[in-house]
Amino acid sequence: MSIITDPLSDPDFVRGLVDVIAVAMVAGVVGTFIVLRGVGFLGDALAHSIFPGVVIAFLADGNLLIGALVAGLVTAALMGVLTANQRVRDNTSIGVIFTAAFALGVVILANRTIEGEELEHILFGDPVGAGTLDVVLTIVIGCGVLATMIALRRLFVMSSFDPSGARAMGLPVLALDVLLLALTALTVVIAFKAVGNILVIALLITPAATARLLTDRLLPMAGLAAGLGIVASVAGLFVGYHQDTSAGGTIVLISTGLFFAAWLFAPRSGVVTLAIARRPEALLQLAPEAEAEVILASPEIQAPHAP
Amino acid sequence: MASRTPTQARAANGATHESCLVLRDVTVAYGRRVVLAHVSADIPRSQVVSIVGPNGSGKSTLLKAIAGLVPLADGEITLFGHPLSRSRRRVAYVPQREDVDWAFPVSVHDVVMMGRYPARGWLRSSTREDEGIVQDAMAHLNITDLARRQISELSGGQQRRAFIARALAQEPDVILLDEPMTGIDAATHDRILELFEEWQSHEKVVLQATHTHIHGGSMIVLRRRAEPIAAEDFEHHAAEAGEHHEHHH
Repeated sequence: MSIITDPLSDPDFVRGLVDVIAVAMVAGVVGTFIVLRGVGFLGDALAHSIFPGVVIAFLADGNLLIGALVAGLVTAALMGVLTANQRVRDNTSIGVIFTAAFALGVVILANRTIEGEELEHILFGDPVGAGTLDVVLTIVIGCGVLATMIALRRLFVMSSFDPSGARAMGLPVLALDVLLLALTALTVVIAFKAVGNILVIALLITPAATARLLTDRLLPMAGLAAGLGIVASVAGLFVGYHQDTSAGGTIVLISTGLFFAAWLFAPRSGVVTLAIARRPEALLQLAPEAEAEVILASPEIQAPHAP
Repeated sequence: MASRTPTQARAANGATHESCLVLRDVTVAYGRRVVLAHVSADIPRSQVVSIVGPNGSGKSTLLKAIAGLVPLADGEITLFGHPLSRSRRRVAYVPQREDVDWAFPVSVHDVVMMGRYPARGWLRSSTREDEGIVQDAMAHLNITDLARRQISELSGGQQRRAFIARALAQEPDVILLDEPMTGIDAATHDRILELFEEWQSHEKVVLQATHTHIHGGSMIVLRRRAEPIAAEDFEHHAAEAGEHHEHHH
């Protein structure tokens, strides 16, 4: 059992473990809505937009998570202005702004000397390097995001499923869209320490996409996404510890492996599962849902078709 | 019939003329395109009003304006003398097919229960009373056996039934339906016609944007080029509109 217990005697590892579990849980729930709404690219754009905040915090020797938080909140406010008149899904200008933000981070970095390992931590994550303040902030922000999602779940469901009906009932659909993106921004902020700025989108959408393959009900999907994220994160952390690989990268690869396993073998929609279930000899065992009866009118009583 | 004064729609069954839903000079613009201009109508209770007209004449836009989905450039809409924006709960809206994300994972029961949230409060759990209303609404549309099914698994007619059950569960005074007869089976078509009669006898106001108006029923006829329009009954427009919008069965 020393494979399990050895790392657990390392306080850095334990902090990282608590951090990734909290992040994976929140990312699974928020990611469920991101995947169902088909706005994954916005999550990615948000991740890019926090990069300059992280870079500035790094160069100023500040806490990276706080830098990301400030950048994330500025971005959310900017988004509110940009999307004042239309649903965010349609807003290409957001993509323009967010990549510009990432470019800003790159330009700020350009003339500074920065250790290769430190840059790697910003881009690809460093969960075991999470300090106590990081973990506390992650848990506090994560609880806030989860509580908001749970309290407002009916509004998010209604405005995602039937936005016209929701607005006719008086729901502020645009405000809910912006709120969902702000919650996504907060999730990206707390997740970047675990898997890094580049990979953060994987923690949001991969477990949720896997869960979507496994269930077609909303609450099980959110729970499953959180669970799959936790499994991948904990496993990735242990593998990273023992093999001395990047924990962030390993977490994302394990998560991707789970996705492909579901894609192939999901009980109802897996490629292999369906191929087996759809063999002609298997199909012929099933009771058909409909049958056909052909009735032909005799030609002599068929009236010529009037124009 | 170009008129800027509200016209009293003639009640098809001779019910009271007490004003319920009043449209006054309703004007809607998308950007700089005026797509509806000066639509006025004074609709009493117990009416089923068909909004008819060619594609692009603004049928759907008028319905959306009443539902509060598009802002009015001019004019006002009142329900029982109060601005409609203050009584959204009393208006049920059944959107066009294209406006709904049918792949979203919700069950038929979930959809019908959505009709209860405006009255119950969005943050509260449903009560036993809500559950009873939802069950009644589903039974009324003959979809009780589909309650646990995902909305994505249903046929077009069954999906329409679920949405109409949601409208019923809302217990509204005004029911707005955007193309309710499009893409459905004959049984659902007939059931919706029966419901129209039932709603009429329950003193509701029903407006449907449609290509298949109800023979002899009230209509709002829209034409292109943003002419002023008023609610009229069937006879005035039978000659010009009737042949294009004959009730298909």
